[in-house]
Amino acid sequence: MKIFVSLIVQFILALCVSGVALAGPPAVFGTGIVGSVHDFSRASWNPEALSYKGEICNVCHAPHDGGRKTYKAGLLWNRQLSSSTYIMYDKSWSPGITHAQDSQPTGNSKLCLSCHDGSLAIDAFGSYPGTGWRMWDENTNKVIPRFKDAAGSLDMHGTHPISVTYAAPGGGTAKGFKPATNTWPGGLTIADTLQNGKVQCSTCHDVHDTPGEVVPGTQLLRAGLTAKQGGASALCLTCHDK
Amino acid sequence: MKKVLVAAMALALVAGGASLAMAAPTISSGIVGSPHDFSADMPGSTGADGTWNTTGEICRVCHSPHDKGRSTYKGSGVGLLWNHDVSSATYTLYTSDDIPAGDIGQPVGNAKLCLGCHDGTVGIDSFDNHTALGSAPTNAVKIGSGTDPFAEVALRIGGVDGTNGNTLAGTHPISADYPVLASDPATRGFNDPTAKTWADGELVSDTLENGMVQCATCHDVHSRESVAPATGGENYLLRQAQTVAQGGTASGLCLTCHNK
Ligand code: HEC
Ligand code: HEC
Ligand code: HEC
Ligand code: HEC
Ligand code: HEC
Ligand code: HEC
Ligand code: HEC
Ligand code: HEC
Repeated sequence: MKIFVSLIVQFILALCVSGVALAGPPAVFGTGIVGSVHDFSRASWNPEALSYKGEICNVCHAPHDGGRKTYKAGLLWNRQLSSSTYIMYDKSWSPGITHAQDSQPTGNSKLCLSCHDGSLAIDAFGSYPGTGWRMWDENTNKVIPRFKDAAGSLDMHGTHPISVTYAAPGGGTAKGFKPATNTWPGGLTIADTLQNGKVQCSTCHDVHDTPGEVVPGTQLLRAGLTAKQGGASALCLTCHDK
Repeated sequence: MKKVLVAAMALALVAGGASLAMAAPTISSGIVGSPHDFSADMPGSTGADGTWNTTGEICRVCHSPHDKGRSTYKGSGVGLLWNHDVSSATYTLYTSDDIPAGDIGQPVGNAKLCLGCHDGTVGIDSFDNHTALGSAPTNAVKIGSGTDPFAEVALRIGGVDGTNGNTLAGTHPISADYPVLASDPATRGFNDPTAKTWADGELVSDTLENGMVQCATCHDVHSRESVAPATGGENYLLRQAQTVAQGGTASGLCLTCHNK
């Protein structure tokens, strides 16, 4: 009997889940990757009919490298990385930048940029060459960065510094910054969300929309931006002591 | 003789005053709730929703983490993820027989950012992509001509003065080189900026932009490093108290740089 009830409950749950996916309502954020912007299991370019397609994780990660070299980016990465050159938000653009920084995007930021810089097809992953469907075709607003110089380098001068160390040169908390032990609303510390001590795209955004780590209603952000989301400019004020 | 004595006494007084102020620096607590926190419902918009800062964020009025395809981030030439329009005014500059020609030019660098609101030609609400969102009209709330609390003419720096057009002639020199004491005769009366500190301990030289005095050299727009407001009065976001009521000495700000 007990088992029967639980089966019914599971059935109803399953219905709900598939209902959500079928109806395709605007994604609700902070509830997990299923049904979020990065759930491409229902994308027309990811049909279930083809093996390995119609999955969620496979668009970005693969459990085996399949003889492809993309795994070298780490995290079982299953996509090509962009070969674009970026004009960084660095100390040559703003002398106020004093923390150690990589001269080009590194680490997790490279993974995000493989779709978000608009240069590579979103639907090219694993062994699939894709159709050339880039972020520019999907949604212009989600292209980061959007400007180019004459030489074709992508201009990040209008994007918050990335691949930049959080700690002051020589370690410790820089003037104007909160300690890296300061916590996001979800409970993680700033340090937990840095990669090798550096601010990357994933420091502010959680691509998996992990419940409890993303503030609902935001663009996958780890802290809100408005009073309703937990405090005006709370995201910025988690790090910046202003 | 008398002159030397007086000067020595004045110096001692200044030094004493400065160290007193340093002993008990009362520092402002940050941008939240300060004059540049526009997150509360802001009056002055003619838009239907009665406010122009629709998302109610603090930093976004001035900075944005992504340019979103708008070019304001280039406009200022100083980066800082600038998200606000800047003024295209040409200003009548401060002039003086004592200041070598060419020492003061049109405002550059982060002074342009302040003037983007304070000269009164650009709306405070001229930021982000409001027009595109169709939410609130841009360029409607201007300093010095808008609605309270922004209508106060005193807030307008570099504004239009009669037939003079936009003028900075009545404003302390900005985008002006701080004299390099080694090559400039010390008789010009300046203190060494690498030895002088503001109320919070920051070196004066660290608040110069490329060696120049800017608005931000005297004022801290984020109200983080400025002195605490005088009881019932203002602090004008100053980095060093100007009055005893602000917790310092008389003209303490001016005397940090000028050896008078
Ligand atoms: C749109 C691309 C994308 C999809 C889809 C995706 N991931 Fe990720 N994943 C990333 C990126 C980028 C990182 C590195 C940034 C980070 O850690 O947040 C990452 C990191 C990880 C990590 C290591 C760091 C951590 O958070 O624990 C794990 C484990 C992981 N993903 C598992 C999954 C699983 C399981 C799925 C499917 C349910 C999935 N991912 C779907 C892009 C994706
Ligand atoms: C597989 C390609 C891919 C990868 C890799 C990827 N994204 Fe996305 N991302 C997308 C697409 C597609 C969208 C949705 C575009 C649309 O609105 O149609 C999106 C949307 C977003 C949004 C907007 C959410 C919203 O509410 O509008 C954010 C923020 C974002 N991604 C951040 C990241 C970050 C950070 C990473 C790396 C940690 C990342 N993405 C990696 C493809 C990707
Ligand atoms: C300092 C925090 C921070 C970092 C670092 C950051 N972002 Fe964002 N991002 C935000 C905020 C805040 C928003 C919300 C929209 C806005 O304010 O512009 C956002 C919005 C977005 C959007 C949605 C844009 C739109 O207009 O819909 C995308 C896509 C995105 N970020 C991707 C990235 C990628 C890719 C990186 C790394 C190259 C990155 N972000 C780094 C804070 C950050
Ligand atoms: C995860 C921590 C973190 C968050 C969140 C964050 N920042 Fe930053 N920010 C940094 C770091 C680190 C730097 C680089 C500092 C350096 O090198 O001196 C920086 C640099 C900047 C700069 C450039 C400063 C300069 O002198 O050129 C601006 C402007 C800025 N942040 C604004 C913002 C705004 C606005 C937000 C919210 C949307 C935000 N930041 C969120 C960590 C953060
Ligand atoms: C009214 C406009 C305004 C608002 C609102 C504002 N800023 Fe600024 N910010 C400026 C100006 C102007 C400068 C350059 C002058 C200076 O450095 O003081 C600046 C400089 C900065 C810098 C680089 C120099 C430094 O002081 O470290 C950072 C980082 C920064 N702001 C972050 C923030 C954050 C985070 C917020 C929100 C909590 C914020 N700002 C709100 C106008 C503003
Ligand atoms: C987004 C527009 C904007 C920018 C940019 C801006 N201000 Fe302001 N500022 C204002 C407004 C509006 C007020 C009046 C607020 C009030 O009275 O409530 C103000 C007030 C002030 C005050 C008076 C504070 C007091 O205690 O009365 C000072 C000083 C000041 N600003 C200096 C600066 C400096 C210096 C900069 C650049 C570093 C700057 N502002 C940039 C809009 C701006
Ligand atoms: C040499 C230092 C110095 C510089 C440079 C400076 N200010 Fe001020 N500012 C002051 C002092 C001192 C006050 C206090 C009120 C007074 O004495 O008039 C003040 C007052 C203000 C006020 C408030 C006026 C009022 O009566 O409410 C504003 C607004 C302001 N300044 C903006 C600016 C802007 C914008 C710039 C750059 C164009 C600038 N300041 C440059 C010293 C300075
Ligand atoms: C941050 C340092 C600094 C502070 C603080 C400061 N000044 Fe200045 N002042 C300068 C510089 C630099 C110049 C331009 C010198 C030059 O180019 O010869 C200047 C120029 C002047 C001039 C013009 C002198 C002339 O020969 O025409 C006057 C008057 C003046 N300041 C008065 C004041 C007063 C009054 C205060 C306090 C409200 C003040 N200053 C605060 C640095 C400062």
